[in-house]
Amino acid sequence: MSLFLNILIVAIIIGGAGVVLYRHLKKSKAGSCPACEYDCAAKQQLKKHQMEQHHSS
Amino acid sequence: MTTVALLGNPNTGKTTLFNELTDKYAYVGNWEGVTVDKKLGRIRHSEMVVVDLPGIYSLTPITKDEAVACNYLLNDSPDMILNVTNASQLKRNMLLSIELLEFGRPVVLALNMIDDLKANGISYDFAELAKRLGCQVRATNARKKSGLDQLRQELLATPPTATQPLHLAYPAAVQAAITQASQALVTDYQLTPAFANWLAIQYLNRNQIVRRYANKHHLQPLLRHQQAYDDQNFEEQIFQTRLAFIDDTLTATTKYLHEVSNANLTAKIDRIVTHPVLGLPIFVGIFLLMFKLSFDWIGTPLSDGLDAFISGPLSATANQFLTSIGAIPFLKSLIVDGIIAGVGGVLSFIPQIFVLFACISVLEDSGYMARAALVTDRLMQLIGLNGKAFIPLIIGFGCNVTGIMAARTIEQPKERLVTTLISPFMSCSARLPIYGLFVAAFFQRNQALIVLSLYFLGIAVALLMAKIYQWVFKIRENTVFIIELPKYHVPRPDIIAMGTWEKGKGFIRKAGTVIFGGTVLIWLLSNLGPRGIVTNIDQSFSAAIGQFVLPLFRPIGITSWQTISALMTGVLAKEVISSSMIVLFHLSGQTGLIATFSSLFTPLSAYALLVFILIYAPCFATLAAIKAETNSKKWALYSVVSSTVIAYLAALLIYQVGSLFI
Amino acid sequence: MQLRYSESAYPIVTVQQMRQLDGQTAHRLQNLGIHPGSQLTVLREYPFHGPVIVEFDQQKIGIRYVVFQSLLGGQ
Repeated sequence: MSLFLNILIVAIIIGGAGVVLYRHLKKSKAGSCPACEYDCAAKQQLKKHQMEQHHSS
Repeated sequence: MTTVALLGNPNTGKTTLFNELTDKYAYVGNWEGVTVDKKLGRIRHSEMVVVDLPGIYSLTPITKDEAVACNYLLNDSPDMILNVTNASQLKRNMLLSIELLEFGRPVVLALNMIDDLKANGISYDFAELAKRLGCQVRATNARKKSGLDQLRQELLATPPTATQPLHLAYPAAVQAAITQASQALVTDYQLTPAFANWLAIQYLNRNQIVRRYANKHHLQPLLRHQQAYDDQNFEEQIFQTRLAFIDDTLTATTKYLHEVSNANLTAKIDRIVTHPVLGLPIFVGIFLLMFKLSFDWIGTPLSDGLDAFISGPLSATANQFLTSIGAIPFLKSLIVDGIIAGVGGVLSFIPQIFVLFACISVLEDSGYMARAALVTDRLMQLIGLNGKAFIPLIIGFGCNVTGIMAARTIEQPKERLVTTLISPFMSCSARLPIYGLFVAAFFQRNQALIVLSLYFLGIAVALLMAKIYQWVFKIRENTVFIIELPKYHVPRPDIIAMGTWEKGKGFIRKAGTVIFGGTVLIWLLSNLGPRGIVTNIDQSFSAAIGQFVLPLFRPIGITSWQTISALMTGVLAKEVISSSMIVLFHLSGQTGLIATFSSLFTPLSAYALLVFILIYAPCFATLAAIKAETNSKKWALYSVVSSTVIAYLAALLIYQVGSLFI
Repeated sequence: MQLRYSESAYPIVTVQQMRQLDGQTAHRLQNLGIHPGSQLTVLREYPFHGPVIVEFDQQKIGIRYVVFQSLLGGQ
């Protein structure tokens, strides 16, 4: 395996980790429900509701 | 599209019924206040939408979530109402039913938990009940799925047109006021007669939401007479009329089947678990049993197997594969020592966490939680905590963020603030992996006991801090504590399975996000130094950071910089502490984590560390939740500082005092 | 109708008044179906003025001692 490919994979992993961490912190920052990892039923409904409203508008 | 509003008292099995009728699964618990916002679902094979609303006792709300239901009726105007009642408590359930029947939409009255009623030796004349109330009546048992098909047919067959609302014989003065106001509303404001009539009754009954609605829409016929209504105490007269109506109706429709056999299960269990002396030890015992199951009997053996697989065959295969395709050592180490060891190490705690979640789900579904709130109330009262704080704190065992959200049910702002601030001391499930790691290494024989002690220490710190806040904020004692003790249910396996999965999937999801990210971050910090890539971890960034603050931590028995660096990553999420620690010690070249631990920690310093981890700075998500709920950055910052100081003091005390004896 | 327990040794008390309670507590108890004249079976009183379990209309609730006392008309 070429050195280039090696470095590419390392870059992808590290980049991916950076992205998920950034997303996690951004999501947490919203506070309240978005900060919580549990995808409870109320939250799922809320998302669905928002999506429906988005489509209808 | 027809909309059916699902309304009823708390804990009447509304959510179970909703789940059975519709395609949507919603969280079920055998205590009050599980549904805090409305949920939607579609009845199978139809276009009918069911809206599940929070449980309410009446349309006159006292808490925020109760207001959701009243507002829904005012603004969304459902086509039909499905009123779920607890059949054996029909008397009080009907106070709400009357208000719904007066609304003037078709109502289907579901007498749920009908089996309990039969066990009490009572039955109702359904035809007579339906005639007197002017609605459809159906007996159901949502948990046993009986009567549901008929109920579904009934709903689909009911024409969604306005029906004649129920008319009670209110005293002459009240009736005159209602008629006068509703006629004016119909002619001047073009409201439908039924809605105008209902609005007038609710207005007379001092419903704050309806009064606000009247203010907003300038409904003069009502606003003009407010003073007169209240002076004549119409509210009380309305209540008495309703009560009399309920008594009449129930007397006329109740059929006594046979004398009750006294041996009912709930009474028998309650005689033991709510015992004044035994109640508390039983509460502690149930928790101990839960930890025994998850740490000693079921969870740990499974976890050990999973760990053996991840650190053995999986790791070795990955290593060989990477070597064979010519990966450079840097990449190989990132995948094998970083991701597989770190993320895999945390994932190997899945069995323990799931067993614990299953136990909690059983407790929630059985109805024991209300009893636990009761037997601990004396303690809560001593501290001066509102009885309602118990449930947010227990929910905090799952995740502190959810616990903080649940504190919204407390009305008084200061009491809510106190509950929010003490929530992070509850030992959330994210802390379990690190407990698991250390108890396996140092407390082989007493794993469950050690974890139990940490949970209770968390509660003790929370209560102590609550007492201090009560004193500082000068909150006077509050006596609002009314808790219903529902009948026990035999836990239903599918509800337990769903509940466990609902709670547990967040943990698995985190493995792919924050735990993965945190692990890669700590691996990177351990392989990079001021002068680029390092081969000796002692020259890396993570070593530099860890060593810088290490002297501060020596008094509490921490002697390795790796531990300090791992603690810092805990702010991302508490699970990351374990993955970081595994990665750091792994990279330090030691063979076998347990052997490494025993050279760095004594059982005493290990326990002091666990105490520190229990109490110190909350994770980022919790801090953000505190900030959002208190509307101030200051409280979040305060939480970081105060909890770290308390954690340090507690660990110091345990380590120093313990050192004298051991 | 009350559930009858084998001993039926539980004291039954009558609610005298609800005026001493704060608005919220009174409202909540009223919603549960308690009003002056209601018959409450006292299933359990915790020592040291702890909570009290009462049963009425086939439902059980726990309330704090102070509330219980004021329902009975005491201080």
